[in-house]
Amino acid sequence: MAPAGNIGIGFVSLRPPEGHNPFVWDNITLDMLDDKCICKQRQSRKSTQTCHPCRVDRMFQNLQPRQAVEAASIPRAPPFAINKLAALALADRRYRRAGAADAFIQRIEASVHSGDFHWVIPTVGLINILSAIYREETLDEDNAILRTIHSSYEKVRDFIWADVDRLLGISSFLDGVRMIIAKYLSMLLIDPVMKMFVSDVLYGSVT
Amino acid sequence: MYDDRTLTLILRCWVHFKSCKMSMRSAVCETLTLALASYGVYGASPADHLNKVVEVAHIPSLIAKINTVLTDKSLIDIEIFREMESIGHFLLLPKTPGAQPFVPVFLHEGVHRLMIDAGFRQLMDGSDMDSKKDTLYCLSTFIE
Repeated sequence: MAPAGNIGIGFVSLRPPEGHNPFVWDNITLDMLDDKCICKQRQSRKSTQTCHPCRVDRMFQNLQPRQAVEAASIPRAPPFAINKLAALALADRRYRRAGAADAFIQRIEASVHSGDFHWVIPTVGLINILSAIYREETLDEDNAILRTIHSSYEKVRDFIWADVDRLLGISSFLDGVRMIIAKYLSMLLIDPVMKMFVSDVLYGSVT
Repeated sequence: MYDDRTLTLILRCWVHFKSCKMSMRSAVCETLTLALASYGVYGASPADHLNKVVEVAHIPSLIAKINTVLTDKSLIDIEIFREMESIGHFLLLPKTPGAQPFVPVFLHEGVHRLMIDAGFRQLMDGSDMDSKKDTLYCLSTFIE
């Protein structure tokens, strides 16, 4: 077969394809920072106090990485804090070494509801951490982070599995979710040990 | 990572992905290629992984998606090559010739003809030389 090329390295773009309303994807709003910022949307400064993305921006400017991770990982974190942390985990290596992976996994596990796509943004955070590690080639230094993400795979997969029948639908939002799932799995499959990982739990036939 | 749930997720992501835009679909194709490939740059995989795939796969929708993709005239160059690479990996398993569960299904449904047609169209109409070479290589291993 042909050479692998650019396998799995890069930031997952959450932006919908052109020609779509960028704020709502088929009735499910995807909470990305720029799309939800009222100030940029309306070109006014009056709503700065009520604009959640701008408040998170200001909050994160005054926080050290470890404080930011703690602020985003508690269940009652302000809205969009996890989005901001997911974006920062790709850009800055201090955040992933301050335990951002644990914060994302906690957020995935913390939800009492299942089947509500709450895992999408934290999964993007995990993808961003893995992308940054592979891009900066710091596999040895960040081995602990890799092991954290790899050992949490079964739990994350079961949360994704709760939404598996919704993946049969057709919409551009669901295409984005499918792409995120595929990206997450490919970021794990490029690790040879993780690829051979055998799940201890045996499930019955699924289809 | 070759349990039922993971394989079902990978296959469903590939089969039910609506948009044909390669910027979004490349991740899905890469994942399928990574999961199905058993040698080379993609790393080793368990010996009987294709048998596990065929257990969880929903064959009619899979065949329908392959038909849609291979007959789509708007896909060209690197896009159709990615798809052909993914589909080719359903069949390629050089080390263990006994375990090829997809071969009779694909032959019965005529996927090989579609594959050759798509490769021919790519060679005639394509503009990117590298992906043409890759397509030729892909076709030659496929025909084997």
